[in-house]
Amino acid sequence: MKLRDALLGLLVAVLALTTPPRALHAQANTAETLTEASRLYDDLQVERAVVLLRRVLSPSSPFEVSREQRVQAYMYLGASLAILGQRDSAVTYFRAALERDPFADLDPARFTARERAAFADARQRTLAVGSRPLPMRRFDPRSEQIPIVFVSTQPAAVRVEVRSLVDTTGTVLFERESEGVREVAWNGTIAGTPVPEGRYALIVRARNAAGETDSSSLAFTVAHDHEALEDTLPEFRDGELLPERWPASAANRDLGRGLALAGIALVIPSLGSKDLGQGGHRYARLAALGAVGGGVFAFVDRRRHPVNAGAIAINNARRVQRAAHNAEVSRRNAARLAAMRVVIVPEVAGP
Amino acid sequence: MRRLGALGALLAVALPAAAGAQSLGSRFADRFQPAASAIVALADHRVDAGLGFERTAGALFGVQGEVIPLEGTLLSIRALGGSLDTHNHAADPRDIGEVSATARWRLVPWLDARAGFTTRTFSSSLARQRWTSAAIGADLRMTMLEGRVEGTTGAQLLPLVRVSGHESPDVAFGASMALRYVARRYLVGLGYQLERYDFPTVAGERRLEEHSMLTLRAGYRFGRSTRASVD
Repeated sequence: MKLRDALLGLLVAVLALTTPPRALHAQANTAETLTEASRLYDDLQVERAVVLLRRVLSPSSPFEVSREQRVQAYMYLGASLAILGQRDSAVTYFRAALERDPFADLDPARFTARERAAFADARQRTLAVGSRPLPMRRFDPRSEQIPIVFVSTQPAAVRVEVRSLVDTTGTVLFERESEGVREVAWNGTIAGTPVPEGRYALIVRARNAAGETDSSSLAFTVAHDHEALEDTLPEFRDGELLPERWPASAANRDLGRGLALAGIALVIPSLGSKDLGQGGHRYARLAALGAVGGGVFAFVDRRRHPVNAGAIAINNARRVQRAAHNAEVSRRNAARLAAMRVVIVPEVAGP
Repeated sequence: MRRLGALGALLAVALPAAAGAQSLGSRFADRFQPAASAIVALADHRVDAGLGFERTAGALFGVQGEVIPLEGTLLSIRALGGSLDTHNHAADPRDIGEVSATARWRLVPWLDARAGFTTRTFSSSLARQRWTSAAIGADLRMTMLEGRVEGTTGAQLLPLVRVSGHESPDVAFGASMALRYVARRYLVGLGYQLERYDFPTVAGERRLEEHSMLTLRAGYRFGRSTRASVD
């Protein structure tokens, strides 16, 4: 019993390891079909190739078809139909290919003049623009550039720009009449400063003489590669600084101290010998009067000038110290940012 | 004439301290922040030597010089001189001259320790008496208006008192209070102090003396820094 269970488990494991995922198998099947269609096309078995290609493009096809595979199928189907003399249908399939991939083209060494003429006709009827996926790249925005390759299938006013996906930040890289494949360079800056981190899109827009328009968008992420930045210290909050006004009790306290001193002045003569107390101690009373005057002066002055100049000076000194600290942090951060590199990370497009 | 001579002698001792502080130059002034003050004092001297109560009083004049050698310390020298007139006919008028030196240390912001040395001379038409004493004490400090007004009160023991012609007192202590107002470099002070001396009984008679003084002081502090000082 145990042996049977073990063999059964082993069989399940082997099956699980040897069975490819469904999507991978489906794509592999589409690729095989396209390879077979291409071989048939090369062997001039064009009708049989058309059958296979229609099967790939059929909505009822059980197999997954990638964008590239679909474009390839349209191109071969258009070329096959051009050979079979079905020019309008050929142009229709070529246009379908161009709409999905404006960079699509026929190799003159492999395709006949008739096929290329039909393709040229399709291109003249289809305004499509697009851009090559950006490579993952780390570069210095002050001295290096990255190539941006875009295409327009027709003569059109083309505008190529990099624009943030979260705000209106952006820069125009190209804006004039263009046709075909063109390359421009971007140094990774917007308005003269390195492009901020975030998600961006490379947008290509075109308008032809007939007023038709097309656009494409390619998302990518910008990251900054630099030494870790330091945080500046925040502004002082209320509780972190000394009170800049004296509390109301301060005046009373000063008055109390003056009265206490006066009391002490009056008490001091009692420390003398009683035998020498004749005539009183007038000077002690004068001293007490002076102490009372001092206390009253302090009381009045404190009430009239409740601002704590000492605390203000200390607070200002602390603010100056903090500002100097933050300035130093900013200086170090600026030095680190000066050595910063921009990293372009393309986003993976869907099928 | 003798009074003027005594006063002149005292000033001759005290004035160089104040004048010297001014002439040491700005570097010395910045380092030690010397202060010079003029003092007017009202002194009250009471004696009962077994022959009845004697009391003399009068105005004294003098100068005080001080320096701050270290933060929280103060060295001062004071010279006073003047005449004490009798309030009754049981005593003779007398001249008094006094020179004292005091050192203070700030133990905590509200408490100072002090030690001092005083020599005091009474001169009358009949006799001349010289007092020499050493004192130790402590002063409580209380500041008002961010230190612009400062009050102190303290007590002192005089463990070493020598009086010419008498045995040393067996009880000698003092008490004082002072109030000081500082406006930038200028300072005004008011003080009151009392010293009590109980001498041993000799031939059935016990000599008691008491010296009290109300002082009014006006001064000027030199140097760039305005470190707070003890008064």
